[in-house]
Amino acid sequence: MIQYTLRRLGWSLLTIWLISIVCFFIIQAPPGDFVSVLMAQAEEDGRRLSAAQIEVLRERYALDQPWYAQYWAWMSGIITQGDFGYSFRWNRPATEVIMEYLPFTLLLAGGSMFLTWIIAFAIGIYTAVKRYSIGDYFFTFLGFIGLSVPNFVLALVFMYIAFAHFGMTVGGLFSPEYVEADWSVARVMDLLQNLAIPALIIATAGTAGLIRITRANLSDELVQPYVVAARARGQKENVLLMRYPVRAAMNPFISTIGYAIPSVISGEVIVSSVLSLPTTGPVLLGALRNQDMYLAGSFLLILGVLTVVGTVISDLILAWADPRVRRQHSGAAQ
Amino acid sequence: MTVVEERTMTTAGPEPAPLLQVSGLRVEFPTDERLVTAVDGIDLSIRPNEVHCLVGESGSGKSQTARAALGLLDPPGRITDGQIRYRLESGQELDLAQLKARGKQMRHIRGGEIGMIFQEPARSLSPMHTIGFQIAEAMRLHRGLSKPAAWEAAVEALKEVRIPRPELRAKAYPFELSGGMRQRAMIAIALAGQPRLLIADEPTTALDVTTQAQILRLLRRIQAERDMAILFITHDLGVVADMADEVSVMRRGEIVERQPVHSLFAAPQHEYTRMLLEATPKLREGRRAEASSSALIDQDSQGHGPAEKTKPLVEVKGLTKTFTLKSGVLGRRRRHLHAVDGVDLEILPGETLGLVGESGCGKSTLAKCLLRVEKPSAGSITHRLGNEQNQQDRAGQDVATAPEAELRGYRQRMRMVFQDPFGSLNPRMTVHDILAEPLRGDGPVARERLVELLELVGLEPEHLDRYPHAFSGGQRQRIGIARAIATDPAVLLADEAVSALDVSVRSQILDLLGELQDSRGLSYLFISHDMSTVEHLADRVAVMYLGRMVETAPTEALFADPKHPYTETLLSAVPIADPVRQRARERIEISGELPDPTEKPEGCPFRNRCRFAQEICALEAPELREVQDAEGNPTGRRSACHFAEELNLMGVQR
Amino acid sequence: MISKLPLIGRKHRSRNTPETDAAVDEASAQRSSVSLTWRRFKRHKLALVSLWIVIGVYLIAIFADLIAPRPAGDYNADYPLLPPQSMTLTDPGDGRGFGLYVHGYTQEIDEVSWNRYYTEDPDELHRIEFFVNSGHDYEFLGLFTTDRKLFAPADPDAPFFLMGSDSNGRDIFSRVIYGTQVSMSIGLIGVVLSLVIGIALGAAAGFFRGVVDTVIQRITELFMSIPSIPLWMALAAAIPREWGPLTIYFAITVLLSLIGWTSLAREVRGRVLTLRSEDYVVAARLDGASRVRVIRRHILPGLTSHIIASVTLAVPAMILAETSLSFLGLGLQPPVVSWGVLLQEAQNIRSVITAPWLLIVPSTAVVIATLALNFLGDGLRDAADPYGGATR
Repeated sequence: MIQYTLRRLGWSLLTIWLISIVCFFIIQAPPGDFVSVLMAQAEEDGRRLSAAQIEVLRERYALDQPWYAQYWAWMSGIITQGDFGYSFRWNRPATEVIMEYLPFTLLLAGGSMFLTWIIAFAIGIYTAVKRYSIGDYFFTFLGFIGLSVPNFVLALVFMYIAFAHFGMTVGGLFSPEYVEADWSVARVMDLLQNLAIPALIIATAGTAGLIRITRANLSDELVQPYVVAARARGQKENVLLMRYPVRAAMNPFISTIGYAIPSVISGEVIVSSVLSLPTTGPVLLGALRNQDMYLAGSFLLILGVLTVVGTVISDLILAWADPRVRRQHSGAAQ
Repeated sequence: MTVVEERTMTTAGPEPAPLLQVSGLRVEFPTDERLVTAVDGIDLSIRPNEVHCLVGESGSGKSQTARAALGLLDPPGRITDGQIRYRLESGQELDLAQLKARGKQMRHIRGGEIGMIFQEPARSLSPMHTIGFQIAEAMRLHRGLSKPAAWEAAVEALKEVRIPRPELRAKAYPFELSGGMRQRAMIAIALAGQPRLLIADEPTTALDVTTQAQILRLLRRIQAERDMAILFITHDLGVVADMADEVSVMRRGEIVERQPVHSLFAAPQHEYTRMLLEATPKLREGRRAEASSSALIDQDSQGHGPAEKTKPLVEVKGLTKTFTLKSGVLGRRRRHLHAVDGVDLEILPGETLGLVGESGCGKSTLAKCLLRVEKPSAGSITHRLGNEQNQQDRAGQDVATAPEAELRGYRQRMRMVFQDPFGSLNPRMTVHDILAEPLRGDGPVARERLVELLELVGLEPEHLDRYPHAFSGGQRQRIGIARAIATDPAVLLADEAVSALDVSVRSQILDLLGELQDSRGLSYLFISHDMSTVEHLADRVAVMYLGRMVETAPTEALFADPKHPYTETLLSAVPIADPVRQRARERIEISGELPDPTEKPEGCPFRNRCRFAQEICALEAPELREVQDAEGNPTGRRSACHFAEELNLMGVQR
Repeated sequence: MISKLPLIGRKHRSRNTPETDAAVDEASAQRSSVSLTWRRFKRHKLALVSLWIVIGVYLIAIFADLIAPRPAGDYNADYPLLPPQSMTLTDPGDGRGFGLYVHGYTQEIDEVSWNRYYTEDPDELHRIEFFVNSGHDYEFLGLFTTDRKLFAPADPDAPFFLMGSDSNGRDIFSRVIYGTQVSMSIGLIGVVLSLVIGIALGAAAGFFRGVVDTVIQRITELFMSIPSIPLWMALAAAIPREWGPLTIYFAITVLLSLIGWTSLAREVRGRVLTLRSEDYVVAARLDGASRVRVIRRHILPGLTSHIIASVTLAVPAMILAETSLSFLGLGLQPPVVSWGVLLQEAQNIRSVITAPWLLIVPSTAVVIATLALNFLGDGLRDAADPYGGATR
């Protein structure tokens, strides 16, 4: 098990490294280097950067050196000092901007992950047990609709309904009276309330797929002989259902969560942009539109790393939960 | 169809009231296209303390009958008529057919009154829970025990079903145990509620023959100790002869005959039962092979036959196939699995060589190596298969190392018949295309030629344009045979070619193989786990154990007088489909089970299960060598046992 | 579903052996597996309906010039943000009998907010004609030039905005019809590209196994672990703005497929691995079939139904991705018309509130197309693999 954990961590480090290279090239993609962009930007604002300032920046980001040195300059800054570079749009270090917006992103992504999971679990079990019932068809149809409606359309429709019928403006994570308030229980509750709808919207896309997988897996498990065997020893139907087939069907479910994380993060970016939530989505979008590349690249890197970490965690949970996987990884079987 | 009523036996006293009385039971499966009647109005009664065997081929409805009794029919199956009356200890009778499948009463019946064990122990235990947990669950349900007490009872139950080190095993997951141990655990679960009736649904079908013998012995012992009745469902008449007091024969949803075991075998009343009995080969009861090619064997065993005739068609020397299993960080820990370990083998012209052994002994890998489906790791395969048309194919070439492109001629003369009649025919090709495939190399294929092939295997010309899905298992196997003989081969390699078929179909296919051998002078390498079939068909038999060849001998000699302890064990474990002979036999207790092939013991691979094992067996691996008779003359048979000459091993008597 | 359905119940009494009594209906016996798959598929009513919808949508894309009453960029500055019009069947008594008509409008402009308010003019009627000369020439399927439209008002200057107009007075209906061309083709082309990458890598991994397999598997996992939308956004943002619309179109397509191939590759690999160990593939090798023939005749046919199903399921994902990117302003840019570009007009909640049709019409098109493709793909998958799980 330790071996497996180490191996899994090793692979994820490799993946993160590859992601960082991809991000670096995205940073490099726009024409002109970062300092010249910054200079142009400053001139527009009627300021002028001193030669010394420029020299410092060129030095810091190794701009006169080949790409691998620039990559190293960027990466070593991140690793040793948590310095993600400089955002010329915000005129602040990228790190500050990221730290301001990331927590809400995590909260939102976590919330929608949780919703995805709960909804898919409940409906997945229901549809598998009541296969070909009206309820099954209803939820399956609903799932397909969730799969087919773009996230942002859902967000807009929701905003429209909220405005047209309830006169509410949706957007932001806090109601107006709490935006500037200090943290308090009431503020947290308000945050959660405002978070619920975006989280639900993001969850729709991933949920449909998960329901489908749960339904398929559980349907396969339900006809397994061990279920009949448990029935034959006199176990109650509902105990038996949760104890055996649902437990076995959970494995693919857990591993799918790893792959659902990218889709949740993707959904977050779009939905937050539409609902103008103070999360990474709109900031990333703005950075990309304005070619504020250090900020964009850093966001991308962090989102990628988060995904990888999520996948690792889901894999480790899987190994912990399933004796078969555990055994496979401990090397006892082929 | 008439049911032959049981003739009253001359037993003293009144007939005891039946424990389970099924009358007029009908089970139906409504599907989209039609209504399938699985059980068609059967009557069945099981008395206390009897072992009642329900025999039938696949699809006869025997399992559905058992499942109906416990309300375990898979949807959309349902009982549409009849009663299943179960007699409680108090004398009160319950109609199980009327109970709610999920109701409290039925849950008490399941496990508390009637225990059940299943065909596939591997899949009948939840892979996510330890076996201790699953036994303890049954204990808590039916004995009302607390958690720790239930666990203790579970360990105790494991001891009762003879699982060594039960405290440790209780914590094991099912996939960490062998098939036999899993079935023992299943039995422990079924017995947890101290049921008065045990339903055993093909409990040994998925097991090896030595394990089967152990499980059957265990069931018999428990049945005697507990005064329990057993409804034993099986397709295997050998098992019936071994276990049954009373037998019901089922066919297409109906019970055609019911008799006490001895009279059933002695005087079957229904033609179907007679057919089944005839189709089932019984050990040491006349062989097909004897008639056709005994002359060859005589020459061979005396060693004086005309050299040309006995010169082997295919000669295998030191064949080894090793698989490497990787594990650990970056796959650095490697273990080697010697699936086939230095095997020597010869196939003579016109003979049938039987290759037997339990699952995992390497017989299938050996077959794959012979045809180069797998590339051997070491050893050589030489042959003299070239015919007039195939002069480009150099006889004597080493097949083991030849490049793939040069194997075409060899693969035309040595052909394979597969085990799975469903998986071995491409579902997207017509029979015409399937049969034409091996002939394509020689230009366009005439339809007449394919029709001729079909007729050779007993199929009709109009079958040529059909797709495989339109055929039954036996017919598909015939197509597979037609494909194999299409290239006019000298050797057919049949890897468990009849194992997936029902008894009646099996005997037809075996007859077909026999006819083809007579008319075309084919040699067969017939690989099977079924000793009775091999005896029926083979001239010579080779026995494999853990990748090694442990004994080869002419069939008659091997079955009558084995020269390797493993062969003796194997023979002793095969149930003879004749209750008189089967019950009179002396049995050999075999201990343990087939070890993990990656952890083969040093020295003789069989030594840790061998009742004759000595010190030398652990030190020195015995070679497969010629066995000498009392005067020191060669006997024409070989054994890989240090004590082949000294031991007096038990064969099967006629 | 039913693990052990008894195979008995053919109730004709035995003639001789159990083997020969499988009376086979000759027609079904000679049915190929393609036709059997088709038969299974036809039982999926929803999938069958979806098939017709998908065919319909692609026909609309092909005949967009004929169906759309106006060219995509055509605007009528007199009618910005006109709500959807309704057609009436009436006889105005001008001697031409009953026909379809739309009303004209009178409009007022609010002095403060500059909002326009349209009022239907009951007396102004414009007749809709079929196959009418519209005055806008186009090449019909590249064959000949014509200006006939399937239906349009006889008077080319009459307001005709079945699904409303946008802020520039362009006809949303016509633009959605034209958007079909881009959105549906980008999905299709993107998937074909994905398919090439996916099949090549998946088949290589499945067929050669060993190191090749490990490396390809890792690459696939890498791509799957990057959140796709941010990556798409970043890559799309890196596309130079000065590129022409067609170049951007292709660049976006390539981007979508670069990231979308992973699931196809996994699917193909899994299937190849199962198929290559099938007995009948081994049998083909022993029959002397060459490697090429084994793959072409024995492995590929077993793959196609699965690939078709996966492709059908991948197309809607591509369409959604394009729509999202374009909506965010990072994908296709005007004057190219795609559903996502049309939805750009519905960027903020204020325009949605004043003109909900800007959101409703294009997104309905998106939902109908993706829903139909999803149902179709699902039905195909069930038909191709009636016993398999949906996960692999």
